[in-house]
Amino acid sequence: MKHDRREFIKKAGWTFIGSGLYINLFSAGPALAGSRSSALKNLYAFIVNTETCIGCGKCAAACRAENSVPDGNYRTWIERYTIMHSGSVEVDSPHGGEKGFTPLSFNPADIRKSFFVPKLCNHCKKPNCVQVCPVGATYVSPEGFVLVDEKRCVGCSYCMQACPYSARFMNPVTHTADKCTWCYHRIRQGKTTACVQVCPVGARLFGRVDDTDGPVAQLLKAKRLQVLKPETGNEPMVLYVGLDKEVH
Amino acid sequence: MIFDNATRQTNQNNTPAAYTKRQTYRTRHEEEASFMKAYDHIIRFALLITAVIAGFFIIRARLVPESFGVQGSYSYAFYRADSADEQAALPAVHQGSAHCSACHAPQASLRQTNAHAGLECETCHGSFKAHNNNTKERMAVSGSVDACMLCHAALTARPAQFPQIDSFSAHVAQQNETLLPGMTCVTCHDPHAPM
Amino acid sequence: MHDIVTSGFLFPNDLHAHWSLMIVLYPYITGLVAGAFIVSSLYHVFGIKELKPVARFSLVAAFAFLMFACTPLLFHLGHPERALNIMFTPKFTSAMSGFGYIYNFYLLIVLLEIWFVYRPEIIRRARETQGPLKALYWCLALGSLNDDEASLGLDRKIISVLAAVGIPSACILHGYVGFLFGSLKSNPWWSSPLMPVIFLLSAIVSGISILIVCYWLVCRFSDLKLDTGCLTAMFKYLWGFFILDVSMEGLELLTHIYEAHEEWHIVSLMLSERLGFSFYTLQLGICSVIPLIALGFVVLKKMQDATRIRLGLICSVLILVQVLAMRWNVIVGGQLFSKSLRGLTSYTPTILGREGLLAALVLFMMPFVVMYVFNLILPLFNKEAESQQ
Repeated sequence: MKHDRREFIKKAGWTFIGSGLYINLFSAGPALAGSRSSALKNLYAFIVNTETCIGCGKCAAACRAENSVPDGNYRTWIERYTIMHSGSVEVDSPHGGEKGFTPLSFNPADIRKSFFVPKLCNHCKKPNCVQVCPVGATYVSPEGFVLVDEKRCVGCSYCMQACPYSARFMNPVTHTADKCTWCYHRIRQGKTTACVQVCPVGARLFGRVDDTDGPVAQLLKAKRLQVLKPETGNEPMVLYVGLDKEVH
Repeated sequence: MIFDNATRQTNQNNTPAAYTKRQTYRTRHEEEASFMKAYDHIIRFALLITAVIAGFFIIRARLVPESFGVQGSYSYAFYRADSADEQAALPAVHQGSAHCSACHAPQASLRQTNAHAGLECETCHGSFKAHNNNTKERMAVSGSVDACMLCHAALTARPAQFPQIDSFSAHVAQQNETLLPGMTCVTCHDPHAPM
Repeated sequence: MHDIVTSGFLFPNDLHAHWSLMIVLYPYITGLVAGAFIVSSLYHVFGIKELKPVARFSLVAAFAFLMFACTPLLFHLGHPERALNIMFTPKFTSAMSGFGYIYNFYLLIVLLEIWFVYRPEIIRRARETQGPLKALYWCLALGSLNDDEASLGLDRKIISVLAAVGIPSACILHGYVGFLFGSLKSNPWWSSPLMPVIFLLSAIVSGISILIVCYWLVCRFSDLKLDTGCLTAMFKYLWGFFILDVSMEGLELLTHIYEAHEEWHIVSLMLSERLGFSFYTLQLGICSVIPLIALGFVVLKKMQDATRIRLGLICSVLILVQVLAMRWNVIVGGQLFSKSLRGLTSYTPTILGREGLLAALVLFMMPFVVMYVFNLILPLFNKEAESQQ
């Protein structure tokens, strides 16, 4: 114990000095040079195909059942974008799309295009939420999953403010931060995520990036993919097929 | 400047002049003693603060879980290692079609031959959890039109090639059938093999 | 419970403002600390003699506010019982993690300075009083009743060092609170390098204002004689800092408007639709323009002392409101638009409840209770010195 304490003081001291300077300033160098440097291995990626999503909401409902997500909060949700010829954009997501969508009252002749965009935690490579957690209650797991330790979380909501995607919420039962875990428990048990499993059209794919025969690695090769809000520098690991410029 | 005059008065005998004069004749021992005397209150305060800080570290050592620490990267992996394992141990709620086939082989094989072949049982039947907990809670889907329309109602946002119908009655009329009371999608389509 | 009013499209998790009234109160109280401490430093370090009557008081006021600077956070946390995790397992990549240490370091400095400033007084009372009071003063003196010239000279040296160290600490403490918000790249209304500067300047003006109001109230309701010179000096500093403060706020807004980033559309909509009164009318309008002009008159024009004091007081109260409005507009405003950049939500504090108006009001009164109790033990104002002048 005594040794641990000394170790801690030493570590904390050095990291206080070092982390601010080294990690934040100098690690930007290699990233700019193109090598995706990160101390962590991001072994997994999630691919969302907005071109095949039918907006049935099965994924959001399955997520709620799988993870006991309290009503009114969403670990995943589906947005419907309707873009008019006039250029105006209508977006809706009733109940997070969990109960499906009903037809809109617009004149079909006025609609330029319309599509669904499922959203979930992006499990970023450089997650802003983990950066701002003051107590080390949210972290990147060895497999690259961004998780919350509900036994350490103090419930300050700083991570919710920091997440550019609003993927986090305050769990009204545990009073701690809560979010999509990419069904970490299921992955560790050799299954796939609940939302991927129930999707009837395969609009959601999850798998290892390094598994060259896997569907994710195949799509990574075959398709041009986009991420949400790349300007935040968080390097999301949820990749989108057919993402429109109107989607934030 | 920050002391009141009242306080100053009590120290009048310690005027600087008298102070230096006395100091001249001090022995070394006396000097050390006076030095200690001047620092006495500061030493006491320092001891108090040291005790508080030491107390903090003793409490900290007792309260921080053993597996807490840097797990590779300080920026992104400074956490309680047990937390990940605890989460990995959570029970899975959805079980997957292979699990269902064990008891429901006819439906499973029927499904494999048709338009719903790519579907998981739990997509329509809901999660397996309650059924599995020996409650034998039924996982039947209501045969209502709405259950099918969740996927098959015509929406502009849906990909055009996906089979969709504007409304149940319009679909029935289109198929040259008569709309009878009590009629639903499953009257004509077997949900396990719809087409 | 007020209903949430939404318009446009919000991400489904963006309906509620996570940071409530308590998080508005937190930087407000912290700001008063920084401001009050700066006033005491103007006397102790920069030798502004006019401020002598409030030199001790400002130090104790800083301490009293500091004691309750953290409390709003405890009211807000989902798990207040885990609050010390922030010191047990701090993660220094988080702007928030330093708070526990910065706060305690600053508390120590203020506490030490007060102790050294009051030590002769404590010792005198330990000698003059009897019974339990004697015990109390003896404990406060940590049992060391030595007030010879050597130790007092040492104290004086330490006080000036502490006051000097205190200035950057006060600036760090409050600049840091601004950094908490300003460093969040996810929020276009917060993310700004000017945020720490604005927080610091508004902290200073709010601190000076509350000292002015308190000093006047104490003189009004006790036999203490109001020192016009001291009050005028405070008006002067208040005006100076307020000019800087309003300029920075204006510059920040101007930059937002002129740069007109993608996000500005929703932020400006939020400002006009949700914060029309508290931002445009209060923060930028009434509570900025009137004090700016009126304080200019107070400082530059010749007028009767009574008029000067009355006008200055009104300005101080307006500035207190301005800073509170600014805290509200920043913290609540930043949560009234969704990160979808397509929708607005609303926030109305409840009356009762853990994060309600009543709790906030009681909390805000607590520092004044501390000052009152402190005054019972040790005098906030130096009456003997007053009467001799």
